[in-house]
Amino acid sequence: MTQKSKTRKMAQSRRAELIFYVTMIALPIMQFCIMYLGVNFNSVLLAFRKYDYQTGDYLWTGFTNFRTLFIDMKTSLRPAFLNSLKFYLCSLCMMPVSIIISNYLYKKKMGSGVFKVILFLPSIISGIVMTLTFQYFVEQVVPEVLGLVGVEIELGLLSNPDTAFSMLIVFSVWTGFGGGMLLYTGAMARIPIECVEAAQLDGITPLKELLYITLPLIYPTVSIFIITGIAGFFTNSGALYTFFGPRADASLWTYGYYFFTVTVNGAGAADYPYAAAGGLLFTLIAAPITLLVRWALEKYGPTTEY
Amino acid sequence: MRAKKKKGGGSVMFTIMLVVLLLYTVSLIVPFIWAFITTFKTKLDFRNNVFGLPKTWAFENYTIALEGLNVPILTGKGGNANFVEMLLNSLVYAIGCTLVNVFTLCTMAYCAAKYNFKFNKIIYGIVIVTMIIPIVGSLASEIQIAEALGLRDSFLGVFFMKMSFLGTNFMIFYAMFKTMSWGYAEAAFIDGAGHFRLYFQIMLPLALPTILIVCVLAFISYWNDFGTPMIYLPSHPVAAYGLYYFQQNTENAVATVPRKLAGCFILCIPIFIIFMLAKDKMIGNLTVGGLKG
Repeated sequence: MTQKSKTRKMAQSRRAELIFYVTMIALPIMQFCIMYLGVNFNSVLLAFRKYDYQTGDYLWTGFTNFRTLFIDMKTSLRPAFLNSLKFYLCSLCMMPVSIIISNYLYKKKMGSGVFKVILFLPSIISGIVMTLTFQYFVEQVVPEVLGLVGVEIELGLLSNPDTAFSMLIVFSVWTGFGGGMLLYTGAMARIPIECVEAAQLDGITPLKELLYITLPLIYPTVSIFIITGIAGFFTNSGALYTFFGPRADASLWTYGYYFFTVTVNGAGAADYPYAAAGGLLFTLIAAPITLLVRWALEKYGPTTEY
Repeated sequence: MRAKKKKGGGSVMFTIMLVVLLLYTVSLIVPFIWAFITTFKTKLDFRNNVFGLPKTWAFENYTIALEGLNVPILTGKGGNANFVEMLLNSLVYAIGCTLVNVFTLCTMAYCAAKYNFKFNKIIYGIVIVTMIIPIVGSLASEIQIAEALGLRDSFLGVFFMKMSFLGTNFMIFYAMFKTMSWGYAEAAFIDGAGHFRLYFQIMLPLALPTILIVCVLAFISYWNDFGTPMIYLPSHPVAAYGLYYFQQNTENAVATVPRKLAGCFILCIPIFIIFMLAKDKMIGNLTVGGLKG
């Protein structure tokens, strides 16, 4: 075979590769350009506009939406900040619990096969089913049981403003107890058995094994949860929408819930610029914090390759 | 002696975990057993006897839930959708979104992992950057764009919106294809196969175990999702939205608590079947790498 025909054959092969490559990625890339780049670019523009009821057009309005937003954050949205923070801290606290539980399952301790299924149930059962079951249970059964032991309560635990938020936290823990288990146990299953066996020969305790062997080796998975969880502060609605629809009491709001209801159940097109301004502001806050946390996790966290 | 002490320390930790897990199991199972028993109660029986067994077993709650729980369609189409129709809508929505989304993820990951083009770095970079930098609150803009492009209120439109290659599932497929030998491809090329045949007849079957796991998880997530269909498919209400609607609208005489809970259990049946069939494959088999920029 001559050099020329070899080169032609390679060019043909490369062209065939290119045809396949372009054909397969064209549509997803177009979708990304429209539904990610286009949507977010439009969101930025929308944040500086207002809806004109007479013409139905969007007009430039400068920073008016942001001014309104700052006023709301100082007044009606004040509880939303605290509630969002509580939900976020709750999710952070659940992370070590989730890792410890995953370690129990990974070590195949008593009943681990059954517990794997049980813990996975909240992830596969519809949020609305979990919500309805929880809601009727704490509204109907718990007051009846309390009544039997002499504690009379007039309202259900979710209907009572004094206990409603605590119940939302309980619901969040109840449904998020096994959260992350799937990926944590997957990461733990990849830990080289030689590492564990060598440590066990040296007489390592299970707690030390978890802290000094398992945790560093599943660190990339843990860091994903930490990094991606930061935005949750602004997006977590704590199942409020599922429980109360758009009618939740303002004392229970989170940022995520508030902006979801403004967009979906607000004044429609007229509220979109305000919601977009909220999204832009929160992105400007969440993005640098996320990058900072990622940098810190990479710099100060364990660097383990296996 | 020393070894015995260490074993004892470990068993304390695991014993505490066992107790915690047992308590959690009880807290999860008891409400669902109560809910299941409640589905067989009449409205009156439920009011007078909240946590006892039913006086008479109202099995008809399930048929009434299927036929009598209606959701009004507020768009131009009008009319009502009963629970059977909503279950069918759920099926179309969940299967369509799962196939489109998982095929897109798998294909993009395969192209990025196995073909030597400079654009791969851009694809990988896009996935990493969108995972690292959170963009929140773009829902209003998304609704606006979907309406402008005619994607709203159409299954095809929603499927297009789900044709995304972003997220952790891309990393799962990417890691799998990176470790998959290219020897199969070379053998196929010698036998005269092209790139399309290689992908559809060799690589996809090889990747099937991972594809099935991701499909099952995606199907469950789409089947249970009521937010997206509520916003983007107002003329095609899904079953999860139906239950949300009955929870929020208490004036419907048919929608008693036992029947709403019966609807919940009907909604869960396909998920339980799929989960029981696939649980051993799903738990403990998924891994993603770290976020490397």
